[in-house]
Amino acid sequence: MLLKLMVLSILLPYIANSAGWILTEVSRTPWIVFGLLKLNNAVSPTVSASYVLTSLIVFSLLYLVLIVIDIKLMVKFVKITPNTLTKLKKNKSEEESLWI
Amino acid sequence: MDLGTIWFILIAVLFTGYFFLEGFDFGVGTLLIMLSKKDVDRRIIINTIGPLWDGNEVWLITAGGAIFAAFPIWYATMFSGFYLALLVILVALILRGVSFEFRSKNNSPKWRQNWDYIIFGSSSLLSILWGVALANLIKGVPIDNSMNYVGTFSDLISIYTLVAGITTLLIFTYHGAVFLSLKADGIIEERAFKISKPLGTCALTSSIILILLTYFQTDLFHNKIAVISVIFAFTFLTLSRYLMTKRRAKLAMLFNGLSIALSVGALFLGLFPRVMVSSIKSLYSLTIANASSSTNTLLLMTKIAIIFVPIVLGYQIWSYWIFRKRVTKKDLEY
Repeated sequence: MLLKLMVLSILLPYIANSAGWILTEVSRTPWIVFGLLKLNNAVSPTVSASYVLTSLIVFSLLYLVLIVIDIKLMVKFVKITPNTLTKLKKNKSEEESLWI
Repeated sequence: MDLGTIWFILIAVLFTGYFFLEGFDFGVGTLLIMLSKKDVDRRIIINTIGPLWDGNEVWLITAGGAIFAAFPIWYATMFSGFYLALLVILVALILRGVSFEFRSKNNSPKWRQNWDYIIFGSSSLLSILWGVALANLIKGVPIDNSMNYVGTFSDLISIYTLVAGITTLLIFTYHGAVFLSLKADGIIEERAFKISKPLGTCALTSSIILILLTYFQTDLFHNKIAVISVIFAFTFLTLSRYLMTKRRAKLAMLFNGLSIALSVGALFLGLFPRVMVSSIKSLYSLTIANASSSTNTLLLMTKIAIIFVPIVLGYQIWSYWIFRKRVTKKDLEY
């Protein structure tokens, strides 16, 4: 029971980390540099809203794809226990087993 | 010499280091799918740059950071003006970085092949884009009297900048082939050596076209030291190509590296004292004087740089020293 909770708690540092960032960014508005520079004065005059939207979409999609791959790989490696590892190594030629 | 000039030189040095080092790992990435179809061979190819490529990227980050802190106006104009181009560069850098990591995490040949294609595609694209970006700095981009970039993405693409992009691609791929013939062994060493010769010849031809176009399209040749720098860069590239015929890969690597360094040097000499050329009016160009931070900031940065640059240099040289041997099949287990 406790062990299962521990597995779930893997998520917690990610949530804490993101929450911290969101807190600093949101609570700093309307300042971008506190007390010195306001957000609306810091906007680049030559970068249009559509450019910013493009980059936002591109990075969101990119990181979405990466996180899916990441989670799949993590699950794959978590499932490998010392027992299955020896089995895997036995089944494969020496060369292949180098990069499990 | 004032502090602004010192930082201009330092940024030039950082870009020189970046292209010298990342140049060959881009080249190795481009060559990855060309030299062998076998997974073991590809692993050897990747392992030659495995411990080095991410360290090489530090030079770019430092150069970007130095521009931000020392020349905030240059940074603002360039990063806003080249917004979409830099977005593509960043996406390619991210994809390239994860490919090296992800590729080995699954045994399926399909999986590995896909990541290999991404490494090839992103390395080649980056090699081209850096050439395009550098050419734009000296050729000039539309900058108005309030130091804003007023062009569009398509203003960055012209025959001149594309020739520069193809030249950097060829030079980096040649650089990579020479590097591989130094660092790999067996069949990969042999193939890298073989392919380096036509690549070197193509790089030389492309350089001649680029130098001619530079004469007509930019004012780089107004600076005498820049001209000398270009002449030496070209001579060293020729010498490096000749040395590959004699199979002196170490010397060829050295001279090609010097050639890259002198080319970047020529670019910055041609720019000096400007940092970005305005194609609208020469008066609107960004210069060291009008784009730099306050003296206080520069002084503080200089002190920090004096302490940390030697440390960074030290550990990079150390890591190259540790991984100085050829990568063989035996080394793959880790």
